[in-house]
Amino acid sequence: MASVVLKNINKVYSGGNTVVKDCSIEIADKEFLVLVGPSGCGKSTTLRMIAGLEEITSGEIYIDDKLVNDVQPKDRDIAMVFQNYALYPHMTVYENMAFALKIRKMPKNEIDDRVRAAATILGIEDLLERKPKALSGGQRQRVALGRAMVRQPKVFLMDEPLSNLDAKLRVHMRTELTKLHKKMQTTFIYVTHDQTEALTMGSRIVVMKEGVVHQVGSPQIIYDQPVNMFVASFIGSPQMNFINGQFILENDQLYVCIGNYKLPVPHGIKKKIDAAYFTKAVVMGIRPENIYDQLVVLESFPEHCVEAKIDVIEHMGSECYCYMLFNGQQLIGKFNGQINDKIGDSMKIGFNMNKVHFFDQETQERIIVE
Amino acid sequence: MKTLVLRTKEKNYMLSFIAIVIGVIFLFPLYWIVVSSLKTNVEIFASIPTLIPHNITFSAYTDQLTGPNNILNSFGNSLLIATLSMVLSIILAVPAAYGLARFPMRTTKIFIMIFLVTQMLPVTLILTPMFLIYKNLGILDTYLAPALSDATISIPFVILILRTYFLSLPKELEDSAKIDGCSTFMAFIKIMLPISYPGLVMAAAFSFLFAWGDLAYALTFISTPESRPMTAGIYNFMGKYGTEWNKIMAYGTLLVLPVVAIFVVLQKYIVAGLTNGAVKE
Repeated sequence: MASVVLKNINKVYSGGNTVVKDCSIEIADKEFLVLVGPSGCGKSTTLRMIAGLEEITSGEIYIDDKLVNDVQPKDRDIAMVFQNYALYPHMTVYENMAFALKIRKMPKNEIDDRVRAAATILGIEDLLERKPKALSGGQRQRVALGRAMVRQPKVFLMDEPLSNLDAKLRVHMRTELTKLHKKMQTTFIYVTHDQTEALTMGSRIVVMKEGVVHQVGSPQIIYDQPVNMFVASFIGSPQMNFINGQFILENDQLYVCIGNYKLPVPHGIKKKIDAAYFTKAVVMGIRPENIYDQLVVLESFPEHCVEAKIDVIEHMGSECYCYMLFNGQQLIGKFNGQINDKIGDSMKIGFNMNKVHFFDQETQERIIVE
Repeated sequence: MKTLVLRTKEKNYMLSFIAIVIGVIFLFPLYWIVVSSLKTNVEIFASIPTLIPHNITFSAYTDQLTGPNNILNSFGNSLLIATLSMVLSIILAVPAAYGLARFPMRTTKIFIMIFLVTQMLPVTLILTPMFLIYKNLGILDTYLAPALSDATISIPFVILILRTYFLSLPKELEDSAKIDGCSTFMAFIKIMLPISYPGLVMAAAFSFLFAWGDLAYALTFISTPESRPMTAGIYNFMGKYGTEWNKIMAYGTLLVLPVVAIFVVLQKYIVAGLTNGAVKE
């Protein structure tokens, strides 16, 4: 159990290639922190720097208030689960799990106790005598977790541990990991490129891109108040729609004009926007689930309605994704039930204006200040 | 012009035929050695050569085991020199290959170039300087002299092969070992070496075979006939009064027997080892 603090971490590879830029994150004890971002955003490098597998170009890393910049990985009291599991192929499951404890010269009976306890929690007691080769992906994943668990480390590091599993197993392991975190009461730092994993598992999320931390916050905050268009588009699936528009102020009512439509901006949102923007061109962001097609809603808020042309319809069973063309821009709507209109038809849709986001067209930063 | 289009089946027949022809070309000398060793000297020189001996005789073999030029002695010498050379090259080449694979240096490419260049030097070129060095070291006419020289040939080769092999192993295993409590060296010994045994077996087999087949070094550096390896002993049958061909052939058969045995036993490692490093997974 420990806190981890990163202070102004930089990582520059020889040749001047900067992978992590001035990264500062404070991770509290027992927290489940998820680093998320597209590939090449520096999240894995950040994790490897915490592990001590990668040197830091500049900055400081503290584990439990102790500066660990020059501490060897083996002395940092951390455990790591790798994407490809990195099980030792020449050892049995038992030996794999016992390896770290053996190296630390722990008494044999204590090693046995710990390995068997971890195996019971993970449900791999029958596999202890097998070699990794004879295990399925999910079982290997459990062994890799078990190997980290027996160490009872201060910090658990995980580098995309679920990305090699099939979709069904991934969903299952997601809940297992969350349960494990509760049971172990240890700090977890988890790297993933999958925003669903980040939203479902993390107590806090760090969104990174091109080596820069864009936003740190709880899943709800990240989802509801993304600081810029990158975070807004990366978190959430299908991704947020962005529509170019123009603010107009008439009789103290703020409107956003898109093509021929003039959509009123609720006062609650208007209050949070700097008045300097009231005459500017902006980007309106709206999540697919905040676009409506039900007649009841459309009739209640006629001023929020627009016409869009259906491009593609994807049926997902309980819901469907409708790709539409609106004012020359593509929109995705997430609707319940079936759509009776056909591709090419015009369709009336409504925006939930209480849930819209506004971004600066140039800086792409959020302009609604909470 | 009409182009000839072959169907898959015809293509397979063609390729198989070519493979068989090439195989026969390579294997025929070996067959001739074995067959001749079972013939009498008279039959070997028969005006119509016989593909299968009329009178099979093992006298050429039994003669090797008795008499002054006992084959067991030179076999022992060969075994000793080849083993010594193999041990030397494995001890030196394995850490070198691992270092070149795992620790990025600016000079890695230069090192690899140097290894390749030393591979290209003809043996005859380095015989004289080596002779002088060994003379000063006082190891002329010992098993160490040819073993060392053979190692100089196999080490660069083994390094190049093993380096690509080590490169193909997942780096996460070493990272994982380091987090589990190993130093770099310990991770190498405890994790990386055991899992690269197919590569190591292949490297060991190659360095053994290099030394086993060497003639020039053994002839140059070992002057006592009793200390010479098998390859050098083949001259014993070229006497003043003619050459005993069937004995030479029998000797040759016995000489290649360990080579064939090694290849048959280790075939899967050698093929795997050679191709394993070739493609990065």
